[in-house]
Amino acid sequence: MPSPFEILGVEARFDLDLAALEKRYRELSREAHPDAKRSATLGASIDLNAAYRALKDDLSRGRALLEARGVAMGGEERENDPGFLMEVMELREALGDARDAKDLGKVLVLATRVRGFYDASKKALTAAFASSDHAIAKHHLGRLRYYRRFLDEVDVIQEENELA
Amino acid sequence: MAYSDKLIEHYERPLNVGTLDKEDPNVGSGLVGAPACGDVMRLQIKVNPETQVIEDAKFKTFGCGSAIASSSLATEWVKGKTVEEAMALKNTDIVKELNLPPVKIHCSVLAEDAIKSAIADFRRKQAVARGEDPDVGIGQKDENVVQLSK
Repeated sequence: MPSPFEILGVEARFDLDLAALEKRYRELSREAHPDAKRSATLGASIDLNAAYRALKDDLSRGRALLEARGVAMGGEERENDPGFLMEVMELREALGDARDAKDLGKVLVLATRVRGFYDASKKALTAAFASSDHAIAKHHLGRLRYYRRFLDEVDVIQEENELA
Repeated sequence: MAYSDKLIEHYERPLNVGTLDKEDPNVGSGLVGAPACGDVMRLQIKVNPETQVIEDAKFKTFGCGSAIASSSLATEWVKGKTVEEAMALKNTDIVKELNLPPVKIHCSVLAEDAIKSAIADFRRKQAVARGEDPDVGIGQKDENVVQLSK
C-alpha cells in the first residue's frame, strides 16, 4: 500500500505547502475521474481522497510521516510527564467549569492559550521531523492530540452557544 | 458497531465522578494518559490505613465513552476491596464486563494503569508517613520509558 505522500506524488515531509498540496490534489482528481480517463477507476479516486484528507491535517500527516519512515505509533504508549497530564487535567476542568457557567469569554481565553501551546508543539514537531528525531516527533504528536481534543471541545461549546 | 448496554449505562450515567482530597495521606491519586487518543484519566482511592480497605473511589476522565465507562466500572469495582485485591484487577475483566470492542481495549488498560498508579501513590504516602524512603520497593520504573523534556 503506497503512502499518502506517494499517492499524491509529494515529498514525504511534515511542513508541506498546503496550498500546493491542494492544487496537486485537484489536478490528480481530474485525471483520476472516470469521465476523464477510461482506465481510471473508482478505487483510485477513493485512495486519492483518503490520501489528501490524511495529509491536509497536522495530526494525520504526522502519523502518516512516522509510518512512511517505519515508526509505529500504537495505542499503548503512555504520557509519562505527570506535570503535563496535570496541566491537561486542569485545563479541561477549567473549560468544563466555564461551559457550565456559560462563560464564553473564559472559554475563548482558554482556547487562545491552548492554541498557543498547539502552535509551539507543532513548531517543535516540524523541527523534529526535519532532523529525523522520531522520539521527539512522537512526543509532540501526542501533545498535539491533547490540544486538539481540547480545541474540539471548544468548538462544541461554541456551537451550543450559537444554537442557544 | 454495537456497544453493550452496560457500557452505555456507565457512559451515560457514570458512577463515582469527582475528586478526593489529594493532600489526604489516606488518598492515593493516579493520573494517566494515552497520547495516541488524547485521553486523560484521574482515579483516586481513599483507603482505611488499619484495614487496607478502599472505602471510596472517584474518577474524572476526559476521553471517549469507553474510557469513561472503563474508569466508572473500575472505581465501582475497587470500592470495598483491599488494596491487595484491587492490585489484582485486570483490564481483561473490564473488557469482559463492558464487552469492549478490540479498538477500545486500550481504554481498559488505561483504567488498570490508573488503579495501579493510585495504589502506588497511596503506598508511597504511607511509606513517607512511616518515615521510610518512599522509593525503596517501588523502584520498578519502566525501563523503556524515555523521559522527554518539553
